[in-house]
Amino acid sequence: MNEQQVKECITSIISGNTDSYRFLVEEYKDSVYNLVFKFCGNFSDAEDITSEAFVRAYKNLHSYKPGMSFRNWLFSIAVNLARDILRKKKFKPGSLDVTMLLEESDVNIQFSDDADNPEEIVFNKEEKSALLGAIHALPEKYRVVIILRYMENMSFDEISVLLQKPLNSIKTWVSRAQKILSKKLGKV
Amino acid sequence: MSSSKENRILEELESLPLLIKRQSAPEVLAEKIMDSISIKETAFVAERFSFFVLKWALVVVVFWVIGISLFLKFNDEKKITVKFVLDRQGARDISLAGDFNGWDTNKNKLVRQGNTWVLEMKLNPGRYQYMFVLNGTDWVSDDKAKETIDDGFGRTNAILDTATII
Repeated sequence: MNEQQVKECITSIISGNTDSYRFLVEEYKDSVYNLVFKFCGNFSDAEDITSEAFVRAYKNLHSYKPGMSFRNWLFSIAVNLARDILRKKKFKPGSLDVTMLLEESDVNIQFSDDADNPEEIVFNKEEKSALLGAIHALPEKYRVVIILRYMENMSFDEISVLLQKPLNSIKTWVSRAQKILSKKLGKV
Repeated sequence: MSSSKENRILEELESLPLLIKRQSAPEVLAEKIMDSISIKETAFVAERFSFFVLKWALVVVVFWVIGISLFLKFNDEKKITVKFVLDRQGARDISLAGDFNGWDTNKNKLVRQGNTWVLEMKLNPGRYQYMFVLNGTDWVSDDKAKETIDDGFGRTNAILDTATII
């Protein structure tokens, strides 16, 4: 669904055709659910937060500005909601079972810091867990930007718009988060 | 931190999409969301309708109260104050009964001022018949009335014509 189709769909919903919202839900439910799952790491919360995010988006549809992609607008609602709910639940990042987030199989990744001697690392489950565990143990604002930047492949600009924070702050947070991760993972 | 170490953590982070399992929303989620919206929409419409009804009910009540107040005020301004006086010693209780109060012997009591009993009433302009009632049982004509009429039971009703006291 391209942005024009999204816009037409929203116009239709605002003019009273509630059922058109189903198209948007079907189109974006997986990406929102997938994002939320990365924050909370359990199916039940992910389902509730995703559901509530779509309901809130529906209620605030009139305030959506086509300048932002609809997906990112939904993400901003979902991220804020996830943060609020997890705070209320006194969610402790360390308590997250990060293995829920991981691919089952080991992953081969070739690091290219030395072009002449490329080093291939096989990430086993423990290493993958350590990396994700360290990310989820980050202070909230760092955790959020790392998830958006590296798990969702969003640009700094997109994150800045999504979180409504200055671009420089986002870059600083990402940089600080990387340093914390390096230290925790013993790579300093 | 050395540049290579920085690159290393960066590359590890960039590899994250490969490590993370892609989750799909449960099949029923879309239906659940649409149901929630439908319920909230219904509640919203009901809430708006209730608010609409309440708002107009309030407007009607306010106008009604204002209308009634104005009517009463206007009506009150038209009324004429009439003072009923009866000189009577030894009475325990005197009331005024007439066609202005449905001949009710308990509705309008006179107040004793020495040997004189007095009652002030506001009446709409018109002609009225009345009598005094002593101690709840004895019907007495007003001997100071300018005009009287036989009541058909052998007694005499006093007549008050407000036009004559203006």
